[in-house]
Amino acid sequence: MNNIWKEMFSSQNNKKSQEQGGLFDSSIPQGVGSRKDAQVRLQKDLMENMVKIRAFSQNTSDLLDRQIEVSGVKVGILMCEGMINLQMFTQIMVRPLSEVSIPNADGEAVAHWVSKNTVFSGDQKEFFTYDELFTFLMAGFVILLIDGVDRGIACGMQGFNFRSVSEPSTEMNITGSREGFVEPVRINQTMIRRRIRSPSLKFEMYPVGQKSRTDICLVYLTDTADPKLVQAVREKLSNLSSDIVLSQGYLSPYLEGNPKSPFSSVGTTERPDTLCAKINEGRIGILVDGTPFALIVPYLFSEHFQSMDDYSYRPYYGSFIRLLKYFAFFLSVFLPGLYVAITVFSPQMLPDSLLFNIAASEQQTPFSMMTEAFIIHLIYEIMREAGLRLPRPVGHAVSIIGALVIGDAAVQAGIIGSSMVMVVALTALSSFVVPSLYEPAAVLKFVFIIVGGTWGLFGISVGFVLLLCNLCALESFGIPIMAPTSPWSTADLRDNFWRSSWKKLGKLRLHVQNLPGSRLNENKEDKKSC
Amino acid sequence: MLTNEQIRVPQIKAAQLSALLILSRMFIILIFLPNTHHSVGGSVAILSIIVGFFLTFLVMIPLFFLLRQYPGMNLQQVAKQLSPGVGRFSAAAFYLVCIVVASETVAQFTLFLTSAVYPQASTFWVGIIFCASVLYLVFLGLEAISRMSVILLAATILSSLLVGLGLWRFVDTLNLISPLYEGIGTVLYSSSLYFTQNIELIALALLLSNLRTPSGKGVFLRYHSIVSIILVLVSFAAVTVLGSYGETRNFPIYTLFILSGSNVYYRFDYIVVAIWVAVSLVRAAVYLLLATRMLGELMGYRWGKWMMAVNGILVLLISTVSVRYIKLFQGIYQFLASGIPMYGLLVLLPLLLLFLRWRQDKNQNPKQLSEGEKA
Repeated sequence: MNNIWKEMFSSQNNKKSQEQGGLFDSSIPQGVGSRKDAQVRLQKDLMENMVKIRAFSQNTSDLLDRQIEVSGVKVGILMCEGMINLQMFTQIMVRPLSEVSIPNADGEAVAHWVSKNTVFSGDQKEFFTYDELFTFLMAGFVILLIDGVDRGIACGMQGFNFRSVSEPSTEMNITGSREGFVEPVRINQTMIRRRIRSPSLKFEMYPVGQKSRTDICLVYLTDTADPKLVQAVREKLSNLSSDIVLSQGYLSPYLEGNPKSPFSSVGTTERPDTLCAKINEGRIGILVDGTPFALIVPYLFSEHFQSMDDYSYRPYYGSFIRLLKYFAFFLSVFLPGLYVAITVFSPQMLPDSLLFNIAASEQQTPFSMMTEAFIIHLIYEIMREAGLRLPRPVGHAVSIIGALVIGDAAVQAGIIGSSMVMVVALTALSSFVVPSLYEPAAVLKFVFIIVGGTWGLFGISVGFVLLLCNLCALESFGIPIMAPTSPWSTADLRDNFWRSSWKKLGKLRLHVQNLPGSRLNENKEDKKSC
Repeated sequence: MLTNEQIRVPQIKAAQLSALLILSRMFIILIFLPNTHHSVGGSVAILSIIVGFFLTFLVMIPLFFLLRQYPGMNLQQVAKQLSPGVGRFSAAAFYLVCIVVASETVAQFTLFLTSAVYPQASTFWVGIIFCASVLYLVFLGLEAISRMSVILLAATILSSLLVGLGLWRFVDTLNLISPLYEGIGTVLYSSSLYFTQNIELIALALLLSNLRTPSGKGVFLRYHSIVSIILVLVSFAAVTVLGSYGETRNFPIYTLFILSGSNVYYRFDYIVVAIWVAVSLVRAAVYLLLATRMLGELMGYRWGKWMMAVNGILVLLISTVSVRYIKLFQGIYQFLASGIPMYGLLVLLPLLLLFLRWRQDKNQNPKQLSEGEKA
């Protein structure tokens, strides 16, 4: 795979593509494939080509091939079953091909007519190797091979079934767009293009995965994104060594600043409006064919607490919601551990009436506070996971069981205390306020339960400091993810803990590469001394 | 097996370094023991801080005069450049001081936690957990620690303001007596202690090479001013709120936090525990990091990450032993408070280096003249 990237960005490759001319797209890699023979060029003899294609594809049943005569010249048509829009194919390609009459036709004349005198589809390309043929064929292109010509023509007539554009399931908004990304990357591209109608918006398509050859697309604004950042993303993706890439999760580890950290430095979004907003700040989006999620790099920690709804509300309410999210995240991580630490080691911190109630409720339970908290939160996680995987008709059973296990029945049975039920409920609700941070919150709360139950508030404090330092050490493509909080930037904080009005937000455009502490601008003198 | 710092020199901003040093200094404020180790309390302390503020400026003149001629370098690097022998000696001296400060921090923290907060806790296990955490912070690097310091300092100041609001009703200015009651000599002596106990200036001298832009003077001014203001306010609070009662308490600042409980938040003393844990970790991490660097200067960076572990174990051993044998602990404290490290490394060493530089320039100038004549 490294060879692909070297070929793409070498000047020789670009020169080669220019020499070949025609409709050749230099972004399509040459000489790619695990089969050495597939890298050879097409032959002029149509039958030989067809035999080789059948051999390479192991005579797969979904490969359809037909031969027709166009002005006396044999033309082979190949397609994958189920991937073609048959109506388009019949009306736009078959009919003109069968009706055309080219005097003194030979292979080159027919190829010239197809390339220059007609347009079967907006996405029409010439290719020269078997490997390119298969890449186009399996992407839903119709392939034309002409007898006597050592090149083929691929026409985009995709018609495979895909999910229609619908509301995103993971990022709900009250106000704002209800469109979410879908699986085909081309449709996602159009959604972005409709929102940013600027010629500086650029899409770069690359195949990844030696076997899957999944299309990924880098999206960025050429007049906003730092070229060093773009190059860094390309280089990181070029190190991808997976055979198959089926979702954005396959790419994330290669883009992370520190894959071992509980916090990710790569963002995901299902919303095209969110991605457009991020791109406008100099970030790079990565679309992956086959998944409705886009990756965003670099990604700051504070962005987990931002949503599109914040910008539809009045600033005071948007700021209130933002602060609420920070508080909710704090609760989701620290509340169980703090509860255990205080009740076990420092009960004098609690008001007397609350202390007596907790003592009374916990008196009947068989487990220690730490064990009880650990078990009940574990059971909650099991139920949550079961609720995700259960079929819908059976889903209501999870609700009933949940009410029994973590509810009044369990309290009356003396398994858990009533105050612990409140803690679990509050923790769970808080964790869903910031869904993108659910993964670290879910694991860290167990860590802090153990730490709080073993070492009390001292342990919680040490854990907090270590966690904070871990966050401060994390960088995303040379940009500290804790920016602009630390390193501090007063101007850039206008959209961090609080949301300033659009008049202020619109005045100073945030460029992520100019954030304090960014290594992308390491040579530039820091004018702001914070 | 190089550390992250050896792969790429960390770059921090002036404000981050200031925050780091202020936070480190807060450690001493929180464990301030009145009338021990020749320190003073009461109104004398307030005036001493103000006088000491200006005295420190005077004492630091040679150092800043020297560093102005070597922008982007720290004191040890300057020593190494001017004389390899002096460089090695200074690296050893800095290493010794940093290890002692880190050990003292761990010991102080362990003593405080196991005496005032958790009397049942084992000093050994507290030390182990603390040292392991410090090692992790050092592993993450100076940039992470300094970025975290800004956030922790903001949280500390906010908490202190809350505590201050809670203490307001207890303030009684009748406790303020004339600071010259014990004579001007006491004030001057205490002012000199203000400099000798300001061990963070050594960290400043060693961390200047990590600044993104050479602004050592700015860092010093910011750090020195803010710390002095904080010390004055804390001393004022201790005097006016606790009065003579504060001089009988082991940790009067902790007592202040206990008093400042309000109806909304039951007890603020656990805030000081949380703050102090953070401050102690940062302080120990900074000095352990500096000790690792100095050891790298002495050993040639061959051991990389192992040096961190070695220093961590050494700090744990010294702190554990000093907690059990209080005389050793007192000896460490007296060594640091005596002024030997401060005057030796921040006054005498810069003067020596200035002399070496003057001699170097003098030796070079006659040569240049004679070469000029020959030409």
